[in-house]
This record gives sequence, structure tokens and C-alpha cells, in this order.
Amino acid sequence: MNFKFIVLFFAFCSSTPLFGQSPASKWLQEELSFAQHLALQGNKHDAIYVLSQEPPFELERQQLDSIDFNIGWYYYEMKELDQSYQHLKNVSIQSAYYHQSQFFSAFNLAFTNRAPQARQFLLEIELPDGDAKLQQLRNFEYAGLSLLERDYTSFDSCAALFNNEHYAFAKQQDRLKEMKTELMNMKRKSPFLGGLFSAVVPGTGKIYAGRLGEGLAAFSVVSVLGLATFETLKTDKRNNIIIREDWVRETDGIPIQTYIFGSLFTMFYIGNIYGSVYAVKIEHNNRVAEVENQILFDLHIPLRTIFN
Amino acid sequence: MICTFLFVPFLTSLGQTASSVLFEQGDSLYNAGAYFDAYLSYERVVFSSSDELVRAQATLRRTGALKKLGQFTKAREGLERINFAFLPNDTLRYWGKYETALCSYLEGNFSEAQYHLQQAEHMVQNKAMLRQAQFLKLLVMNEMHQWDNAKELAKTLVMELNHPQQDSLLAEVDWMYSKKNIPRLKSEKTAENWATWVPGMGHVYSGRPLEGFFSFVFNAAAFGYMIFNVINANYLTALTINATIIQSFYQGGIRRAKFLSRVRNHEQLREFNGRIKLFFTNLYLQELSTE
Repeated sequence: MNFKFIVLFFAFCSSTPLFGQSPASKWLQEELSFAQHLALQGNKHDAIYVLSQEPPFELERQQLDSIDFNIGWYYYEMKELDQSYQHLKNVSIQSAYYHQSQFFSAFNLAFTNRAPQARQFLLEIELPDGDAKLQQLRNFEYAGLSLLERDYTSFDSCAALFNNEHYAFAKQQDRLKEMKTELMNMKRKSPFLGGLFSAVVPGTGKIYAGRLGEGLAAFSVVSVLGLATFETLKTDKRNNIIIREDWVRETDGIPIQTYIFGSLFTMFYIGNIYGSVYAVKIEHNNRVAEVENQILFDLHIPLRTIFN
Repeated sequence: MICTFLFVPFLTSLGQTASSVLFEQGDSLYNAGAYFDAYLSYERVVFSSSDELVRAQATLRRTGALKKLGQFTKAREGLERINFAFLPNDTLRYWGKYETALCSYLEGNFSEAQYHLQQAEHMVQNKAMLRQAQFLKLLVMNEMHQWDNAKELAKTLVMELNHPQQDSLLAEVDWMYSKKNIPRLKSEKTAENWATWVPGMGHVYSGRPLEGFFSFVFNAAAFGYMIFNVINANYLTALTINATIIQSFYQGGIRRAKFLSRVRNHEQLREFNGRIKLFFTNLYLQELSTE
């Protein structure tokens, strides 16, 4: 009887703050659960709003880390990477989510075109001694970021340490080496040549840039306007229906249509040259962007695999 | 033994008290116009309570807050998470279905609204609730162009009011739903056909005669310019540039005619439904003021 009473008494007391969680921990647990409930319904912005409210208690560092991590992760899931970085970077080393937060912060920086900052950030992550997987991961991520910055020397130093031991990024390590070769062998086409080609034969500059359809369209439009100008100029004026006699005299015998089509021809011809110059530049940028996106993709997958 | 018996009700009352506090908090936020915070308070009740009735009540209040924020889809999705049909409380069952129908209507999903209203009508317990559902049903029928059914329902609603001027009100309903006043909706296909055969006629059919006139003039001018060039032996110009200009005006005119017919239909429906809503709103307000 006494034993049963003692068990019941302690069971009752464990429901009170005296022996159980602190009010701050209980509050935080409820808030995080509620935020997760909102996020699961697809209302991640609402979840972030809930977690961003001023806490009614003084929170410890680890508790603040939980909030920062959750907010940062919800932003990451919504692909708002800048906001995600702002919160994930605050997670301290005391948190169980420290490494995940820091690696993803670096990735978020890289994805928002801040590769130099991302590299520096990676170097500052504190890794536990003897954790080969995380050391290799950092090396791999640093190699990818070096490639984004075209720092082939740093990339080679990192690539020398690739060992293909970890399934999470073995394939990606090989692909990074292929990307490096592709970037180094990428020939840059001359915008000047593109403009020159289009000046000689309209549309050929765009074909040189790799845009066949656009080149043919430019050729058609400029040719038609040029021929129309020539046709209206060449036609025997005696066959023209003259609405006013003095129109022809005012324009020195050149019909007004010639001026109209001639102006349009000039405009499209110059536009075609200008367009060709920019087409060459844009095509090069597109090819580079394609390779860089592949690098970022290869940097992302191992993070999702390891920190699942 | 005594402690165990005291312990369990203590835990249960703790949960109920927490929900009550959140309900009160939500209500005061709602009354203060802080609808988003009110929605979160009610959502907390839905999240934390295990009592299906309490969750249903919280969902309904949550719906009210979200409607104020204009978030009808979110409101409807929340309602669909609660299985109102299996609640023991008739009133809650009705409100759940009615609010789902209302949110669907406000979203523009009229067939869904009609489906939920049909279910709600079977759960109705009193005349006031039935009238509410029927009024919404009337609006939905109008949106779905079910004029005959809508007219019959409108008459039923008027007769239920037992208004002293019932006869004149019924005559007004007849007039509103007469052939002259029912929106004469234009067919996009017909507008397209008209515009194909005579540039500008599609615009006239869609109720924009001036725009149709200008469309005709532009098309005619482009065609005339082409003939001018042909006569002047500028065949290449006529074939390429003029043909391109004509094609642009012509095809553009056809697309514009179709668009105008859609716009006209939308405007006509808005005006018609607005009249019906005003009619019944005035009637109900009169009834409320006399009660």
C-alpha cells in the first residue's frame, strides 16, 4: 500500500514543473510541435511566424539554436536561401544540428552567388577530430566552390584528397573532375566576329552564336525589308498611282514608301548586328551557367544524403 | 486509489482549460481585428485538443478568421480535415458543411459549393439555417446559369418570409428572371466566327461596336495598302510586308473578339448576381429590423 502510494505520488509530481521539464523547455517543445503541424499543412510561413515571436521565457543557447535551426530549415524548404542562411548560421556548436546548419549555410551562400564567402564559411566550421566523413565532405564542398570561382589550383589540391570511400559523394567527386575539364576546355566565341558576320550577311552572327532559328528569322526580316526598299525605289514612277503630283517632287523622285521601308531596313539591320553581338555573349554565359548549376547540384546531393 | 481517480480528471480538465483559454484568446483577437493571430489561436486548439467536438468548433472559428483575411482556399482545406459528417452534434455538422460550401463559392468553385450545400440541407434543423443554405444555393445556381431552378428557389425564399407585400416581391422576382433580364451570354465560338468572316463583327457581337468599327477600318486599310502595292507592281512588298500586317490585324481581331465576349459575360453575370444579392439583403435586413 505504502509502495503504491509512493509510486502514484511521484507519478503525480512528474506532471508538475517541480520535477519535470522547465517551463521554457515545455513552451519550446509545444511551439516547435505546433510549427511542425503548420509546416506539414503547407503553411511554412505561418510556422516561421510562430517561431519568430518573442519568447515569454529566457531561453538557453541550445533552445535558441532549435528555433534558429527550424526557421532556417523552413526557409530552406521554401527555397528562400538567403533567409535560410541568416538563421542557420546562428546555430551554435552546442546544438546537435550544428554541422547540418553550417554546411547548409555554406551551400545557401554558394547558391546565392556568394562562393568566396561560402568557401571562407566552410573553413570556419569546427569539425570533430577523427570524423573522416565530415572532413571529406568539407574537402569535397570546398573543391566544388573552388571550381565555381575558377580557382583550379585549390581544386586540384582538394581533388588530390578525394578517395571515393563515402557513397554519399563518390560519384559527385568524379563528376567534379569532369566539370573542371569542361570548364577549362570551354572555348569562348568572339562577340566581335558575331557582329561582323551579321554585318556581312544578316543572321549569320546568330547562327555563329548557336541560334539557328533566330539567325534564319533575322535574315528573312532584314532581307524582305531590304528587297521591299529596293523594289519601291526601282519601280518606274510612271506606273505609280500619284495622289498628289508634288509628293514626288518633294522627295526628289523617291517615293515615300522607300523612305519608310528604308528606315525600317536600317533599324532591323543595325538591330540584327547588335543582337548578334549580345547573342554570342549570352550563349557563352548560358553554357557557363549550365555547368555551374550542375556543380551546385552535385554539391547539394551529398548534403541531403548525409544530413537526412 | 483516490489519488488515481483525482489524477485523471485533473489531467482532462487541464486540457479543456487550455482549449478554453485559447478560444478566449482567439475570440478577443478576432474582435480586435487581429485575424491572423486569431487564426493561429484557433489552430492551436485544433492541434492540441483530442476532443473532436472541440476541434470542430475551433476549425469553424478558424474559418471565420481566414475568411476575413480573404484566404478561402486555406479555410476550406482546414474544414476538409475535420470529418463533420460523423460528429454527434447536428448544428456543428451543418455549419461544417455550410462553411465548406461557402468557402468553395468564394473560391469560385461553384460545383463543389453545390455538392456541399446539398449535404448541408439534409442536416438542417431550423428554418433560419435552411434559409441561409438556400440563399447561398441561389447564388451558386445563378453562377452556374441554372436560371429556372434559381427562379423557383428565389420565389420559395420570398414566400417563406411572409412579407406583407409578397405579391409585388414575387412579381419582382419574375421580372428579374424574365428573358429580358437574364444575362444573355455570348458564345466565344460565335464571336470568333463573326470576326473570321467580317473583321470587327466579332467585337460588335460582344457588345463593343466602336471597337469593332476601328478593327474593321484597320483591317480594311491594311488590305487597301496591299492592293495599292499590287497595282503599283510592288509585288514583293504586297506579298511579304502587307500580308504580314493584314495577318496581324486579322488574327489579333479574332482573339480580341473572343476575349471581349468573355469579359461581357463576366460583367453581365456580376451585374445580375449583384441585383439578386441586393434584393435579398434588403429583404432580410427589413425582416431583422421588424423582429
